Amino acid sequence: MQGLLAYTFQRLLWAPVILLFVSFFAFSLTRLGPVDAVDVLAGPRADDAAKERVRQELHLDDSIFEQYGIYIKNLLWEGDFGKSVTIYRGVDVWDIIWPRILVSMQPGMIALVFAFSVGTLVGIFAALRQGTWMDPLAIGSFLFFQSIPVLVSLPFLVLIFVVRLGWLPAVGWGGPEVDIGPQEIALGIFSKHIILPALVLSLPGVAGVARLVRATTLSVLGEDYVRTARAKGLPEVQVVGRHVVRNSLLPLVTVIGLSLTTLLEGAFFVELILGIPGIGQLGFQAAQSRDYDIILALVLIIATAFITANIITDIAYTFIDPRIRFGSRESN
Amino acid sequence: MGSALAEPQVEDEEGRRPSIGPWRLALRRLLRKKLAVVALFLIGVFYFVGFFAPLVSPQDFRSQDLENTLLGPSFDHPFGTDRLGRDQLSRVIWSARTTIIVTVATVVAGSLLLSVGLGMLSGYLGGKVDTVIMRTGEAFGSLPALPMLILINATMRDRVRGWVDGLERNMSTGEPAFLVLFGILALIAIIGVAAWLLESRRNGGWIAISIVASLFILALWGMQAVFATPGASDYFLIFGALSLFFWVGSARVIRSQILALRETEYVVAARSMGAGTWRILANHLLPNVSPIIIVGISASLGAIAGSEIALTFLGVGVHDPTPSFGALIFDGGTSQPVIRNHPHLLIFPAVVVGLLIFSFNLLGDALNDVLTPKAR
Amino acid sequence: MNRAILVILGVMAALVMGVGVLVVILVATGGDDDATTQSQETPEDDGDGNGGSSGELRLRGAEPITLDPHVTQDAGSALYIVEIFGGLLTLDVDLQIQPDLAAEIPTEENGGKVVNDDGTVTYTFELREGLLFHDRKPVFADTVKASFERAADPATQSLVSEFFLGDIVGVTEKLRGESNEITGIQVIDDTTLTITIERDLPSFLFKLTYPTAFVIDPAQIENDPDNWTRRPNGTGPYKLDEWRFGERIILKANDRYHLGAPKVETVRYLLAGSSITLYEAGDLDIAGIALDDLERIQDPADPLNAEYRSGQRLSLDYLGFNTNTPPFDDPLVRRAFAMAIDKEQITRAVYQNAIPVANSIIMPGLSAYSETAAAPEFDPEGALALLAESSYGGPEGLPDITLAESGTGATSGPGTSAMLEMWRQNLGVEVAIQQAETATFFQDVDQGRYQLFTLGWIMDYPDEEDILNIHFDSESPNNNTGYSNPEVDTLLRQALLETDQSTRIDLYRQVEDIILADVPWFPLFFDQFHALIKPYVNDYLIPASIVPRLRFISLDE
Repeated sequence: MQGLLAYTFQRLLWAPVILLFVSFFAFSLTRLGPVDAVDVLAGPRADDAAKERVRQELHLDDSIFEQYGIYIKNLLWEGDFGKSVTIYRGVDVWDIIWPRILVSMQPGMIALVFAFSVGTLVGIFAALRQGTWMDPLAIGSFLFFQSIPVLVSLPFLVLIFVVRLGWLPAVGWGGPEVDIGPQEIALGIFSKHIILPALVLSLPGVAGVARLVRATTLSVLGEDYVRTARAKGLPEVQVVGRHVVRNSLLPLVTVIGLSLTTLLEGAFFVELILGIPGIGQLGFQAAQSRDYDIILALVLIIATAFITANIITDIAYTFIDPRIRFGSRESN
Repeated sequence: MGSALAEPQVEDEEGRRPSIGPWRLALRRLLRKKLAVVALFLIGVFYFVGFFAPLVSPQDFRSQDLENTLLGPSFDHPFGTDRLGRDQLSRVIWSARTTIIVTVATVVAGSLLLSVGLGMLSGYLGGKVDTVIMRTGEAFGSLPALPMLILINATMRDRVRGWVDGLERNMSTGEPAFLVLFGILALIAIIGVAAWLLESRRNGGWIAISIVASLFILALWGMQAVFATPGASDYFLIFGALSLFFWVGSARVIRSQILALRETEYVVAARSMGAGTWRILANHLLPNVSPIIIVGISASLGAIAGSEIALTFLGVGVHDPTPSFGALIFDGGTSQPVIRNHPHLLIFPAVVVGLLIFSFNLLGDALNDVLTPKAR
Repeated sequence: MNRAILVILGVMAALVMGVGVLVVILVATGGDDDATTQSQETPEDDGDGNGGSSGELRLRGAEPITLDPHVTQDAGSALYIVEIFGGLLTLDVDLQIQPDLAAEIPTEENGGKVVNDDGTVTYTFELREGLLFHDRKPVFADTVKASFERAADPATQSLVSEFFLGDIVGVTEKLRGESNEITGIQVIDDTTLTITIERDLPSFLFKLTYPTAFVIDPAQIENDPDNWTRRPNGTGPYKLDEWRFGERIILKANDRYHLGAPKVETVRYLLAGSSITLYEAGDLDIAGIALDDLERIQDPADPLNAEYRSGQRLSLDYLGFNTNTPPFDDPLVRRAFAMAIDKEQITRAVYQNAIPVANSIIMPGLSAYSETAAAPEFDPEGALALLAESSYGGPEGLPDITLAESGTGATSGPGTSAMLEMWRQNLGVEVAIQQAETATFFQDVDQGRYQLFTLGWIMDYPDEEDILNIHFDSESPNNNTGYSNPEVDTLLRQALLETDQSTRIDLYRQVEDIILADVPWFPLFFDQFHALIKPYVNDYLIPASIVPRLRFISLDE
């Protein structure tokens, strides 16, 4: 148990280091990468003097480390992500991002819940039907749905459900509204608007979860205690319910992090194609408009979320399966 | 039974059993999987068609026929024509070429060079090297790639384009700077080969190595042609950025395999007989991890192809006039009037992309079953 | 093993917080306001007939680049700005000058315009009684003056104030930061002010209808310099009720509007969604038509055909050559590039004849428009010969060329792609393409960053000055091609001051011919507006330019 605590502690210590590395990498890209950062920031009419002023304000003549220090200081002490330069000139980046995170999360959450619940059921079902014709069909279709990129599947769904059948709304987002400070946001989860994005985002997730659950269920089914239970004459329902489901759910922890990636990357296309005002759409706009501070803030927020999620997954994993230990020295 | 575990287990007992040689067995087992054979066939067709695009495609991907725009599929144009009367089939074929360039370049740069090199070094040397490599990998690996790729491509595009343009100009004018650069690269290659030869004279591995080295030099020459094509900077940016993110997974697995292998009797024996680090890595360890490398590559191919398409779709990948599936799907699938009135613009490229990535994943899955010892 | 399940649940819960700490906060902060907001608004409901004075008009809009009238220079933003703000004068839907904040148009007859001895001209503006901002704050003459001064303040970074206000005495000094006030604008009393311009210009009053001359609330800007445009306080017929980024803009009628309250209470602009699908689903009252639907809708048999309207606008799409950068510093190269383009074929094949080909810079509808104006005609052999004749000696001698256009996404516009292919086929020149998002694109065009670009121009007011002087005078800050021709400069300045209409037209035609021959711009297409309008929408006028028009619209029922 002590080893576990030490490992947990070590992981937690690493998190800020990784974040620091990532944020520095991203920050350098936005400051050193673009050829034209000063022009963009200084505005259209800026003469040389004005540009010089912007250079000074941004400390662009200082070393990249000093610039980074100032950015981090403002961020940590004042929660200041800077201001939008081109898209919504002068508006606080956080005020722009915050409502959009809340919008993006709604289809994401629904898709996550959907993917895990449906995926588990389908996976166990497929495993129990192993050996019949349904099994290869199940494997094939899981893989198929996992393979189809969102940007391929979504236009088809739009074609069918929006354009041809007219069942779903043509505009991307809406629903009852709540005020969250900088502006109100719509709760799409309470309207038809959620259906298409949540469906599209959960398809690959359902398949991924189902595949994993199927595989682990199969190995659990081969374990002695399951065979014993069956030999004892326990009803199949009980065998599955008591032994199989529990044990085959364990490895799911590992794919939560992976599902998050899929969800986030899918969000870019879902939001763009359907016109949902979330972070994916914003990230796209910001990249096109060279609004570097918005991209930077997005990357930092997303990276923080992911690193947190990964660490939690790792730690949970070691708790669940104590055989697994990381670290090179321990391996032999 | 064949199980479809997505990730090869980090460590397992079987890893210790050196699985040299059973390539033929693996191939036979692979061929027994019908789905995998179909996938392999589709991928083969895709690569063949894409590689020989200039010969195979009925028309130039750019040649417009403004009198025959937006035609549906017909005998002349099996996939129809687009808004500018360009043959959609030819554009799909040329887009396949883009996908091939990006996947191959990323696999070579990211999966092979970076992940194998770093994974083996990390596992074998351990200590500080291991920590640095693995923590860097962890930093990259714990990030969702797409936002980072967008950031990199959005900020670096102008610069990379400048560099590539400069290189190209230097190349075409025989500028000394380029010749020096080329000379240095060639020298490194030759020295590397020589060192390797000296160390591993004893078994025939040097033949393979010199073939690799000459391929490397050839590839350098080939790059000259790549530089000259319009949009070369886009390729460089994309596979450079993709490589950053696609080495981590395989490197980790390779490292853990090496960790298990490095204390085995024959490695210890080789070391006690005075074999150098490089030689042990190349002669004893590399053959043992190659199944894992293949599994890793095949598993990442779909993701790499998908990433290029995604980036292009978002406007930060390859650009006009270079054709790409991302652009085709963007054209056909983002505007509802287009989807409604000209569905063929969406359907054909989307189906090809779907099939391709599906095939990549099927193959990856099958290879995982066949090559990973755990799977039986 | 129960513990393991708990751990999983714990992990999932933690992840929910990991992705965003956010749901929790949403629940926490959203809880209170939830009920109140929901009861106040029923946003997606169609049954809003009895909400305000007379219902809601739903349009598909684009996200404005800015709502600051003093810096705006794109048509997309101006659409909203002209409804929210107002100035001394305005244009009606026939593009005639009408008084807005001013009680009447100052003329020599009513004594409002006086030519001084030194050649300067003084206009006296009498403001209407009881003018109010949206927030009921009164508008006085010094508010108007302060607005002009903000527009001309270098810190405002306006790219257009020099052109539209530069004639006023003292504006140049103000723009250069040499003076704190505009000396040419004098406040006489609360409702009277005079504006003195350097010389008698026939088109000066037109310039006052441009957003740069609009009145803003100086106190609001001072209090909230960064975010005031999100809730701007203007004097226009509509006030901005809500601007939700990427989603919608809602305008509410200004009941106290001095020219008469608008008939429609609420105007809702959706910023996302496909307009034709929305229109057919009954979620939009007016929809622009995409190319792919045009043919279908123009067919008289189509059910939507009865709701189809189209109108021409004073608008031109053109190809701009940066005359300062190679290879377009050579007029022969510019001409060759122009002659290699078959516009007729592009409009027929690519645009399905939705937009007419332009052979002049001055559009039909302006007095100096001439059908005989001769932009270079399609002639591939001639183009190649010209290129060989140029200082670059032919296609091989040309440096790399990149064409820039506004746009986002994976592919370039079809018209642009067609032109690139024509250059490749007819000249053997590979032109690369670069896309930029609109706001960025405008900035870069103005800074002369592009070699070659496509752009459109919509007239701010129906006077040739607003397209020729603004773009081709070598001194104009809005000359986006770097074009400089002393003869053109002389003629342009002469035309500007010419009071005799027919001489003026002749001068402008003369200038246009020289410009067409020099090809800094190559005119491509005039703009045509195609829309679907529901039968219950009355008086949705399609003006040729961007002028306030929402207040005239009414809805049946």
